[in-house]
Amino acid sequence: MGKRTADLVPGTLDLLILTALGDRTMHGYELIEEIWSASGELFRVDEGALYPALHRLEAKGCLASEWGVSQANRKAKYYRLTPRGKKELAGARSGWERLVLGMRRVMGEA
Amino acid sequence: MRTFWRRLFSRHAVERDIDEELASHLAHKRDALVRDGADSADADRQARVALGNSRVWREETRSAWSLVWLEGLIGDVRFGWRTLRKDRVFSLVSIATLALGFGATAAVFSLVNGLLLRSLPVHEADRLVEVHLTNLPPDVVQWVNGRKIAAREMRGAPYGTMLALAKEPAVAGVLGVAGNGQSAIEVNGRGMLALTTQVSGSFFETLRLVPAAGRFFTTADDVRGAPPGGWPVVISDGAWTRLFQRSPAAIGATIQIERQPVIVAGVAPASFHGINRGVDPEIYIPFHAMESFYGAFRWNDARRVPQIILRLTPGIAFESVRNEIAARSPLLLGASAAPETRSREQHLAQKIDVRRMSANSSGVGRTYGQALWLLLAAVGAVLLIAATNLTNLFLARTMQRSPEFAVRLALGAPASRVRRQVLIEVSLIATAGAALGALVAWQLPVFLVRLFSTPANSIYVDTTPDWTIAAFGAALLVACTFVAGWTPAMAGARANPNAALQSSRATRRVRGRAALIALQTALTLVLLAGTSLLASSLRELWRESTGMDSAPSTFHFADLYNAGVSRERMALAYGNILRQARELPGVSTAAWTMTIPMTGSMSAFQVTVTGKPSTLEMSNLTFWHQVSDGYFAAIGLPLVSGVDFPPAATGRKNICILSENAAVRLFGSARDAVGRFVNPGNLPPTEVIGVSRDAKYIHVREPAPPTIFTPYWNENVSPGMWLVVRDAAGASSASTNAAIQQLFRKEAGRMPHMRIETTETLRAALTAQERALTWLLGGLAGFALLISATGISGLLAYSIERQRKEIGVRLALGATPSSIRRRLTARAMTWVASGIALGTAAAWPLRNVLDSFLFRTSKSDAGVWLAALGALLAATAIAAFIPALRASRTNVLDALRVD
Repeated sequence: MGKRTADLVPGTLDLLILTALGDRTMHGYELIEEIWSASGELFRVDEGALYPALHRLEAKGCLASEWGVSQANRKAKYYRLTPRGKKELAGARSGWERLVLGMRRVMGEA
Repeated sequence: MRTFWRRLFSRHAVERDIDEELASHLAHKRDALVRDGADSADADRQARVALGNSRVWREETRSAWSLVWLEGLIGDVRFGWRTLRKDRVFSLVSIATLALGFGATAAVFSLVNGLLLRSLPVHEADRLVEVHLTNLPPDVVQWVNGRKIAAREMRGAPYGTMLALAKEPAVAGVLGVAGNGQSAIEVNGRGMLALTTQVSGSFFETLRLVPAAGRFFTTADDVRGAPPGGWPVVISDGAWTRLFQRSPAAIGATIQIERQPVIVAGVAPASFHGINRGVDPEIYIPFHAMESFYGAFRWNDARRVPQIILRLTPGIAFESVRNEIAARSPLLLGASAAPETRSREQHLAQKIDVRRMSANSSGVGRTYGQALWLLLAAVGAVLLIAATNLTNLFLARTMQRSPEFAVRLALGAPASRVRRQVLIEVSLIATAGAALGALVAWQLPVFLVRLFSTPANSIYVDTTPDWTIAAFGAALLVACTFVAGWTPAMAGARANPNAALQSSRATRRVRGRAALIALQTALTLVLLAGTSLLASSLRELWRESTGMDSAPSTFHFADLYNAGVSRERMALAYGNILRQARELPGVSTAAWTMTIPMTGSMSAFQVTVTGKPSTLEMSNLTFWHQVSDGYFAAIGLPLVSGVDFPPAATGRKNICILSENAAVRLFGSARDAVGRFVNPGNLPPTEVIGVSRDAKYIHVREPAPPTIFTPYWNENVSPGMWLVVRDAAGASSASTNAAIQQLFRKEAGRMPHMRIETTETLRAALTAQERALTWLLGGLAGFALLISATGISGLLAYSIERQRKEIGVRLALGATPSSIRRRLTARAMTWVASGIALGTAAAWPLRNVLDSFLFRTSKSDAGVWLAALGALLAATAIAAFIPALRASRTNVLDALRVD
């Protein structure tokens, strides 16, 4: 398996979800697969952690959801970014980049 | 956002959603696994395992939607509600006690607000100022409600000055009010009384009021001579309901006031209750209409307008207007002639002082303001006692539940959570008490006003709820919750499961609660002392001799004028009635008088000795009575010198009788006065034919006023005299009263409006305010005493419970039950003793508060304090009795049994 998100730096799950969703609409399972493939099979999102995070983001207003029918012809709840979510993503992204740059400098790399 | 709020409040929808999402995820996962080659049962199991504990998953997902703190709070409230419901007696008693205290305080505050604090419902009420005169000539005294007021200033100014002020650039408008009172009116053929007030024509326009119906009268209407059709008057909204049942036909209707036709021009707005708080006039009459009502009355420059209010021009500062008008006083006063009692120099030397309108602007506010604040403090004290009682009760409960709290704390609950739990329970009780109290506060003000309002002196206070009252109530609620809940909350959070530590804490807790008892006792003592002082004062007021002898007289008034007897026929009517009344079997003496005793006011003028140079001094002010022959016998006032008036038939005029102090002041002695001449006011020289004993006509609080009596036929006979009747056998019987009323009816041709009073009722009416205040304060003191007693009883029971073993040991070792009782009663007494000390110390700075109410009662009167102390100690003894009795009857074996 890949890295379980429990081992990731906390807070990165939200960033992963927002980035992976991007401009698209996906349901929970799709999102897990997307992150798995986009990370080059490095991150396997803990299913127990994903849904609470999705609901938390929705409660915050970063995501909007609606029920639909998936490709497997099953009922599924689809999520997409709201304008607020997009702003949140931009902010989280720049925060992340700052963190990475700082860490690199401290650890003696470029 | 909408979905958020919706989900917040529909838990079921949220949970259903989550379940469906869970199912959907598992289905997709299963499909994927099956695609990869697993069989369906295996795929099912693997999918569930990958998800982990579904319950935890569900909970975590759901918790993303909940406001944790809110759900915690709701849970605490539910828990508190259940706990309180289990202990019903405690909850109900606490709520009831708090409701009474809360309701009474809010009720009195709404009276204070309505009478003293609220601003008038007129446009820019803060731009209205009142006119006073200062720098008055020396020796000006004023009598208000039987009390002599230091007259360094006077309200109002002469009419000419009022008109001059209207022209000042700093003044945007002027209004004058010339008093109010009950008038006899006739509406649609029905005779009744209404509260009327005379105001200047500029009244409504200066206040910038808009009529609710019809129109207002204006300055143009307020001139000598009635406009065609009759004088226009304005009625209040209340009068529109009472007199016309809100019929639109009221506008333009003609009614009679004192037999003068007037036209109802319009209705004042419903929110307007007059310019003076406490009085709600029903009919507003223009100044000059008074000239039609009272034949000899004329508005001239010199006549004083008792209340003048100015509206300041916008943009001008109050201080600058004040200084400017004061500086222009001589000019403004010069527009009016000096009254007859003053020289021109003295008149022009006065200063016009404009003041902001305040609680003191209204007569009712002046009369009752102090009493109201006092009452507010008293009910506040009772509320404090009720709240501290609640503290004690909650402390007891908290200590009972300390094992429960200790377990919660041990399980990791933060202390703040336990404190919150206790405070929530206290809030529930306090809120319930406040809600119930609000109902009390709704109805109580009307009842209180009725205690003080009499038909002759009707009081109205606008107690409609407003933001001030709501804010006050909210503040009270918060304060109560804090006072009642703080100590128990802290105690609960300190709960410790260690029993050994518990007992030493218990002693500290008893001491803490004993301190609260001391506080309650102190407040109760202050209330009791106040009541005792007022009661003693009241007793003195009743016992005070008036100078008139103690046999009762009955006073009959008939409004003959409004019943149809013309002014010309009045003298004849009076003569007839007097003659026939004297012939009635139940009447031994009868007479006419203009003024009945103890109504708190009398007319007065200057009386000087004929031939001596007349000095215009206020010390020559003498009170004036118009009476018939036989008056002094009918009222029980002996003549110390000279003779009574002869009957009217003899036609003798220009004679008078002086009271003893008047005679002494003018001539040196009563005997010297007889046969001499005096000048009463503008009347011709009048011979003194007799001198009567002094009598306290105005108020029992005041010394007897110097009085001059003249026969009523001396002048134009005025309507409105009272028939004084006395029966040698005692108080007038009902049949005699009915017979006299028949005499009136026969003379007038129809039933006139009548009033009847006796010396008893007059005396009672005069002391009505003191009596009401004493009863109120007494009721509060009694309530406080009851609460304190239950507090003492409860604490003693708790203390006994703690020391059960010790009591058992004492009994086993041979102590008698009565000695146990004595010890315990003594313990209760020590708690109360510290309270008494505290109360006495607290009463010291308050010692002058009741001064204006006291009559012949000194604050240091030992009897007063002993009475209060005695009541307190007796209540304590009773409160301690039952617990002590039970303790003395403790079964020794039960007490010594190990817990």
